[in-house]
Amino acid sequence: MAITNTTTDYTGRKKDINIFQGLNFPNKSTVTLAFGDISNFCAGIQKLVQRYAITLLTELGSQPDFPDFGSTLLTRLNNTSLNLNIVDVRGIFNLANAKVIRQFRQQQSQSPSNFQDEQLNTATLDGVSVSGGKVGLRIKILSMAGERVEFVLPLPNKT
Amino acid sequence: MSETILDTQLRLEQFISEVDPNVDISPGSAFSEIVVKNSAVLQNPLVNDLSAVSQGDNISKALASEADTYNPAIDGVAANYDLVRGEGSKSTGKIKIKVSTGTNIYIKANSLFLQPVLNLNYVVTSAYTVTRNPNTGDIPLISEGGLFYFVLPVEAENAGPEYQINDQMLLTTSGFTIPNFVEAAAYGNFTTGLAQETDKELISRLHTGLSNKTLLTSASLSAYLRDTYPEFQTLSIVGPNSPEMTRAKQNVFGLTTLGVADVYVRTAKGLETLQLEKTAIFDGTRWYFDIDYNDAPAFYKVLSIVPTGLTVYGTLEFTQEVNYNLAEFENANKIVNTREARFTRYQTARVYFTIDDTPQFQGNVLVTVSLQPYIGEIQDTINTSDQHIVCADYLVKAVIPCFTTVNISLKKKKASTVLPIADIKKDIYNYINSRGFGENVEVSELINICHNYEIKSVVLPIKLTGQIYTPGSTVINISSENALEIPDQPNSGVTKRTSLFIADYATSDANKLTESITITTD
Repeated sequence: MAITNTTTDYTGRKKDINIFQGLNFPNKSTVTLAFGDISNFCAGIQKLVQRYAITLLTELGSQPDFPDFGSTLLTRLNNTSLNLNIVDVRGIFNLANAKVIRQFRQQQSQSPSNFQDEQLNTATLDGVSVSGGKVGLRIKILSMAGERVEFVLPLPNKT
Repeated sequence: MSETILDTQLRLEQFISEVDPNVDISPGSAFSEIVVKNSAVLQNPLVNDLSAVSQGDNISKALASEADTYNPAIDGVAANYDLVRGEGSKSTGKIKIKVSTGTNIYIKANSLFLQPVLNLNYVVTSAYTVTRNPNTGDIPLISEGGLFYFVLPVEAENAGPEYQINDQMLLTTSGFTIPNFVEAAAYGNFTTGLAQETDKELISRLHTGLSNKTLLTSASLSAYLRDTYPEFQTLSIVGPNSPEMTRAKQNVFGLTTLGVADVYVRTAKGLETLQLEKTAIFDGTRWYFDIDYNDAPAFYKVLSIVPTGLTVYGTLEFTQEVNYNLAEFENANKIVNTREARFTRYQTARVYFTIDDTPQFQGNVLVTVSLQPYIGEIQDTINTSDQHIVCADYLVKAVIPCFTTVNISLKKKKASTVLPIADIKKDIYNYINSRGFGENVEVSELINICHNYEIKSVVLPIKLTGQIYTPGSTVINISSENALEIPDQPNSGVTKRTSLFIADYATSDANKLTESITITTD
């Protein structure tokens, strides 16, 4: 994931478990979703990206006791009755993304003291990449601090 | 109250925030997904199980619990007292369904009828064929006044007293249709249902459980009757020295003799109704028929008389003369006049009615009466069972009824609020019909009941009225804006030891249904 900006002082930040293993800042690198051999934490824009990705990629309704968490992105993309092209993917992404943004803003309004680079302003789909039989979504996130982060979210294969 | 998973999640988040404020547990974080949510899902049933066990782990906690509990531990305690938890019973009754044509109708088992006001379902338990030429097991389709009707037996979907509905309450089909359907209505009062006994109710019976279930004392008699009739409510024994007792003084000297007791019983929370098919006799000026002691033992009053096969709205005008019959009984109680026999199994009546000159009328009528159930059976049991006390005369009487009416007006918090009027009525019905001997109906308690719901206020004053049907066939009218109280009139047989309050959701009255509990909102 390419990090376009950094904040250097994370004193007092709340930490989350880093599941985007393989970061090689400042170079572009392929990140795998895993816990890895050595656990580490993340904060700041990294944490925001992680939270956004988890929320976007969790299928809405897949957690029976938390039916409102997640988005419809993977559910719709995995609907094999549809023949999708890039335009369709944009529509499906925008619908799911709107829900995630709305949910984040609702939560952020209840915790206004959170650091700005950990608060989501908006997210957009820059493009869809197809490589080696895998599809990835190029997503750009804008935090409340004004930071832009671009990353490619690989879509998991349908089992 | 049980905890939801979201409550458990919130509790865990608060705990983690206090223990380690550096951990980010906001929604979507890895900590939240991996630790908090999974912990909440695992812990929530354990928390609720612990709470339920805690509420029932001893009797005092079960009694203090705000929610109804059904803890197996209390079942174990009750077993030591030779008691078993009542599992409840379903209200049963019949529905009269009118259709416009005489074609055969097939009703599937488990078909549902809905009472739309109370939002309660009633189930047809077997499949039926309805036809004008019935075979064994079929239901006859009968022609009446240009339409056709049939009577279908149903039972309540669930156990509980709230399912007891009254005669002529309208119902609709639910999830199925009847061809050429015109109308469906309750055919007589449904029987009283009974909810599963809660821990509190079971504990309240502990002191009677191991008692000798005989006819010797009030407690043992109550235990004996409750064992045999699960819907049995309460009793009051009037002994030879009580001012209400007249049978003990029926001798030349008017002196009180021992060995005589009147047992006033309430065998069900709500009244039941019976339909009797009678053939009346014309005496030259009016028609009459007799209600025998076995037809409707201890009935309170005739509600309606409708000629069979003719269309009549409401009821024919009638008068009733109450009497009694001891001749058919080998072990009859000592009774010397009609007043002593009133509301007992020995009661009979001759009912006179008039009808406009109608050549087709041959005297066949359908009579609806209201009564407390099982009075005849209880009297027969007491008189003939091996528990019968030699030289003791126990006369079983249905409690003297005080038919209670209450009109309540409520103000809503918001105009858009939809109040559960049926639930409020049910709570008021349960309160009034659960008043024991010596207890009043308190207006303050009715207000408390209303404030359990989302209302702004109760419009005052609330007027309570009661009509007491005395054994002497007179009516005592009472009313109050504070507390309705049974008056002390032993000369008429009416005291707090002999009379109880009775309320209904709806009672048949002349040409229309009137409700004894009416609730209006602004």
